[in-house]
Amino acid sequence: MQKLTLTPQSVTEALRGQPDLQRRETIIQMVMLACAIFCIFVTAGIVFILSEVGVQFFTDEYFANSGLLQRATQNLATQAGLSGSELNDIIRLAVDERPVTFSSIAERIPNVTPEILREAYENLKQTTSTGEKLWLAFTNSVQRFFLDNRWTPLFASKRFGIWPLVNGTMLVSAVSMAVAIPCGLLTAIYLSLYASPRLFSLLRPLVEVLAGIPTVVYGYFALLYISPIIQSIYPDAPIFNVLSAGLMMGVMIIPTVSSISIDAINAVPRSLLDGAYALGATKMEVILRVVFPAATSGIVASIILGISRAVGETMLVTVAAGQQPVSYGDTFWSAIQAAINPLQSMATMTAFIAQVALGDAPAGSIQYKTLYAVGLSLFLMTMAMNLLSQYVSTRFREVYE
Amino acid sequence: MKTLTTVCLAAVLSLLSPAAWAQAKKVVVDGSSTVAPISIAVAEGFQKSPAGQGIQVSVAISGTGGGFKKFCAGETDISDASRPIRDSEIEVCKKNGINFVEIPVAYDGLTLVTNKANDWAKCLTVDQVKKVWGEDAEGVITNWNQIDPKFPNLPLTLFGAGTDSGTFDYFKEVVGDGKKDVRADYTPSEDDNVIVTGVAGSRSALGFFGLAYYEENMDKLNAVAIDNGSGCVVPSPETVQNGTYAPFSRPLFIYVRSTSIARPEVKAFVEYYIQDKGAAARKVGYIGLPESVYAAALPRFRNIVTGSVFKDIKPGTPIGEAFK
Repeated sequence: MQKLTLTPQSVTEALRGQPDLQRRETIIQMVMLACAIFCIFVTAGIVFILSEVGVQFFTDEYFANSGLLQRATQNLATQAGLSGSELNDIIRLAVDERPVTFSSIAERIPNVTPEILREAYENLKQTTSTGEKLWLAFTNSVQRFFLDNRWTPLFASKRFGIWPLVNGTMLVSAVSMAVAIPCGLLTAIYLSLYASPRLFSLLRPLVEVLAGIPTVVYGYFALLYISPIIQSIYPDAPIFNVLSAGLMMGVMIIPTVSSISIDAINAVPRSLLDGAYALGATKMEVILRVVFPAATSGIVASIILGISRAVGETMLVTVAAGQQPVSYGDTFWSAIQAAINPLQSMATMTAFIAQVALGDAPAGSIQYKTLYAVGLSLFLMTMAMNLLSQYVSTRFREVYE
Repeated sequence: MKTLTTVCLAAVLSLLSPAAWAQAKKVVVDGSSTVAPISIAVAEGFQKSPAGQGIQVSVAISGTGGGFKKFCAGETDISDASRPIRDSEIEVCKKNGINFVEIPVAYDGLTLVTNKANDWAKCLTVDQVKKVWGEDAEGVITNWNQIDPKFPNLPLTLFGAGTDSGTFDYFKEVVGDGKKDVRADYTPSEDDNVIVTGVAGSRSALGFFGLAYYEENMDKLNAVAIDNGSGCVVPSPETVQNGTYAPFSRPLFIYVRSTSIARPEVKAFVEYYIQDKGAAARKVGYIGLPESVYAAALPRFRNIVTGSVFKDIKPGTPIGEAFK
C-alpha cells in the first residue's frame, strides 16, 4: 500500500486519475472560495458606502455656507474695527443660515444690520469658486467635528462635536470592562485550574448561555432591575444612566472574556505547570508566575475583543443609558466631572445612530449624513482595536514545544 | 410577444397621460406634518366606507407654510394646517383666484409632566417654562431651584419629544416664540414610552409630550398646570376645549379650495372628515373638538362659506364661540 504524507501536493497527487473525486474537491473548493469572496465583497461594500457618505458629510454645503458666513462676518467685523478675542467670539457665532444667527451676529457688530450681513454673505457665495467652497466645507466640518464639545445635529442650532458621543461610548465601555475583566478572568482561572472536570463541563456552557441572551433583554433588565437598585443608593440618579448600562454590559461581556481566556490558559503546556509544582510552587504562584505570563497574549486579546464588543453594543445602551449626549458646562472642572460621572444619562455613538434611524431624517439631509460620519468614526475605532488585538496576540505569543 | 409589449406600452402610456389621472378620482392633500396623521387616518376610514369607494386620497407633508404655498398655487385640494392661514398667504391665494373654506378638525395639546414624587412643581408659569426650555438655558439652568428658589436643590433631568415630531415643532414654537430653538441637552425620543419611563423613573425629571399620551399614563406621571397670567390651569380635554389651557393647546385645521368642492370626491371626503367628529384624530393622539363645532362646520362647508375666522382670533378664545 502506498504511504500517504499529507501535504496539499500529495493530496492532489493522490487524486490524479480519479476525475470524479477531483471534480468534487474542486467544487467544494469553489464553494468555499465563493463564500470567502462574498464576505470580503460585502465588507468592502459597507466600508465603501460608509466612507462615501462620510466624505459627503465632511464636504456638505451646510459647512461651506457656514464657512462663508464666517468670512463675511470676519470682513464686516474687521471693517468695524473689532479684533482679538472679541472678533473670535463673534466669528464663533456664525454657524448656520438661520435668521436668528444673522441677527445675533449683527447685534454685536456696530453699524451692521442683519440685512447688510446677509448681503455680504450672498455676495461671497456668488463670488467664491466651487473648489474653494469645497475646501471651506472640509476645513469647517473637520474643525466642528473634532474641536466642538457639543453634539446637537438634530436641532435647529446644530453642533457637531463628536466627543460627547465618544465620551459616552468610552465611559460605558470602561464601566463594563471594570466588571467583565475581573469576573471573566477569575471565572476562567477557576474553571480551567480549580474546577473538577465534571464541574467544568457543567459550568462552562452555563457561562456561555450569557452570550446567547439578546442584548435588548439585558437593556430592559438594566432599566427595570439595576437602575432602581442604583436609585435606592443615589436617589438623584436618573433611570437611564451609564452605571446601570455599564454594569449590565459587563455581565454580558463576561463570556467573551472568559471563553477566550480559558482557551488561552488551557493552551499553556501541562509540563510547565508540572515543572513549577515540582519546584515547590504554590497554586497561586503557579497561576501568577507561570500561567499568566504564558497566556498573556490570549488574555489580552480576549480583553480587547471584549472592549470592541462594548464599543459596538447598541441595543443595551439605547435602552438603558439614555439618549442625551453629555454636556460639559463652562469650566474645566465641570467638564471633567461630566466626563467621568456614570450617574447620568449619556448617549453613545451607537445609541445616536439608532436614535436617528428611529426618527425620519430625510435622506441626503445633514442629519442623515451625520449618521454615516458617526458610523465611520465607530468603524475606525473598532478596527483600530481589532488590529491592536491582532498585534498583541502575535507580539506576546509564547511558543513552547 | 409583440402584442404583449404593445399592451404593456399602452398601459404605461395611459398611466402617464394626464387625462388618465384626471379621470381617476383623486383628492390631493398636503401641508402640516402635525395634521397629516389625522388626514391619513380619516382617509383610511373614508376609503373603506361606501362613499369612498374608488377614490384615491394622497396625503403629503410639506409643512403648514409649504402646504399653503402649493394650495394657493392651485396644486392641492386640501391644505393641512397647524395654525390659521396668514394674511400674506391669503393675499397670494387671492391673486391666484383661490377661495377656501376653513374647517377646524381637532386640538393639539402639549403636557409638561413630572415624576409622581414631585410635590413642588404643581404649576409653572409660561415664562418659567420658556426659561427652562429655551435655547439660552442650555447648560445654565440645571437645577430645580434655578426655576424658583422655593423649589428643592435637585438636578433637572429633562425628557421630551424627538426633533422629528410635530409635538417638538409646536413646543419649539411656543418656547422660542417662533425664533429660537429648544435647548438641546435633554433626552429627545421619538418613542413616547421612553419619555414615560424616563420621567416615571427619575425623581427630578421634567418632560413634555402630546397631551393625549398623558391621558393614557396618568397613573404614572403628574401633569404640570400652566399659568398663562390668569391662574394655574390643569391640562385636560375640557380645559383644552374651552381654550383656558394656553398656550400649549391649539386647534388644527384643514383648508378646502372652494372650486374643488364641486368635485364629488372632494365633497364626499371632507364631509366624511367632518362627520367623523374627531374619532380618527383621537385615535392618533389628538383631542376632539366640542360636538357643536363639528355640527357648525358641516353647514358652513355645504354652503361654501369662504374666508378665515381664526386668523385674527386671540389665543384662549373658546373655539365654539369663535365658530358660530
